[in-house]
Amino acid sequence: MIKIFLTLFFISNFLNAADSSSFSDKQRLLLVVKQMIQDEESIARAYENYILNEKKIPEDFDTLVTDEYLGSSFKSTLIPELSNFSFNFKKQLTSRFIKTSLQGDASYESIYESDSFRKKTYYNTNGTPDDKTDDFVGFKLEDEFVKHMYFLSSTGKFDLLECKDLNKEKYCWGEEDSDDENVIYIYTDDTQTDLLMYYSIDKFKTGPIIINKDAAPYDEDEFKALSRGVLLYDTSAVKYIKTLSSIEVLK
Amino acid sequence: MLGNIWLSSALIVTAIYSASSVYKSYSDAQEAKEIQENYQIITDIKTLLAKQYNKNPDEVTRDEIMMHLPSGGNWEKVLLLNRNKGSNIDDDALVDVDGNFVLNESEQLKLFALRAKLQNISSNEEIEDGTHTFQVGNIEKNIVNKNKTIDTSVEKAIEYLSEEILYSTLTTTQIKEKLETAIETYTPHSDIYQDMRENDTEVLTVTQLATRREAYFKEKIKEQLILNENAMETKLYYYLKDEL
Repeated sequence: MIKIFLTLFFISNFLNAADSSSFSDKQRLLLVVKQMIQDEESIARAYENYILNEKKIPEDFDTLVTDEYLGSSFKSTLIPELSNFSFNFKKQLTSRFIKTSLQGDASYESIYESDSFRKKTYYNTNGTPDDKTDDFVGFKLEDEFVKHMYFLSSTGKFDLLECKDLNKEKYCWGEEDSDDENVIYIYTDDTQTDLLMYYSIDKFKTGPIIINKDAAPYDEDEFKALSRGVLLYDTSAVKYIKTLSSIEVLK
Repeated sequence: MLGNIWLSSALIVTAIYSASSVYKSYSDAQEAKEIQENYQIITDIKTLLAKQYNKNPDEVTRDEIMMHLPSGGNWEKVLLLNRNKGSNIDDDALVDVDGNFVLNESEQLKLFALRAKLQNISSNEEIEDGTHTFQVGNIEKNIVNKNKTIDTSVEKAIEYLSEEILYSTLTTTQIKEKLETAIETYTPHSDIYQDMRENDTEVLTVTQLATRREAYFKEKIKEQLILNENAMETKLYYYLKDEL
């Protein structure tokens, strides 16, 4: 009798354990997906902070794994895939999910691709539904200065150097510790021969922006990126304003 | 002698009957309390997630609730019909995959308890094949939230377009294709709450409605780009102005 009772007791416990593991297994996998999303959110935050502090865009993921940004001991569920990952001028990561064993399971996939648990990132279905190899997770930049720096860095050169640097670039900073330390100079090309404009970094949004009168009629691509309503002065002190489609003299 | 035995037996039977009645009442009260507690916990989790991620509480799924519950500690019991050891999510789910409460008609006590809980709360109860489904969370989505969702979609579309257009040399046709892809991918059809009719009598087909929503979304992209809020959007507008 006791043997029968004990046998039934163990079977019952075994069944309960099996049931509970089905829930906990599912929850464990869901938490892995959540952790992946949270890691991507952390990377997006670190990416923005890096631009804000260093005034340049991070070259690769490893640049962010420091005490100041992600923390040097950042243990990400993504790290095996991300080590040596180059951002390649873009504020995005390739989709990590497709490389996991969960890929193809609709319930996990829809969570990863949705905006649930995402604030600074978004999932982009770049490919066709059957081919997700081109899908990526984009970063949303919030700070206006960071957006401007990202624009300059990504459309000009990867890293904004000082103008006196021997590796000349068409966009550059004023010399460090000088009066124009926080001034951005924009040239027509990397030879830095023909200056187009310069402005103090805190005036990037409203102006005044000083434009070179020799650059008239101001149809270079760089002038197209000036916001509407920005105040401009040319090097002969003539005042201009940027309209939606052109630069007009203010009389 | 016989009288004493009869009396003792009667007392024992009465005592057993009373004890079982008391236990049944206690157990019923516990069950009623548990289901009301579960409803409150699930509602709170849904509301929290909804507020945090700007979505409808009724759109929060069971998987998302599971992701929010702490692991271990038998927290899964709030998703189950009862808190017995043998209950599991596959056979005894109280919360279905869509995050709604489901109760079978045979669970009369739990149904009464839940209805008592919901008497002052707006909630939908649907009955199909003896299964009662209760929506957890508000049904109505507030307009401010929908505007936010539309704005977020515009933001995503602009991010996509800037990545695709500003860093490559594309032909006019390719730029047009990129814009079409962005509109197709990011138009938040379910969040565009305007009825899109030109007059009260107009009746739109599903296709017409979708086309007008896409046109509306395209207009929202143009409105944002025309604001020229930053260099990227200004330059993007320059490339897209003939297509918008």
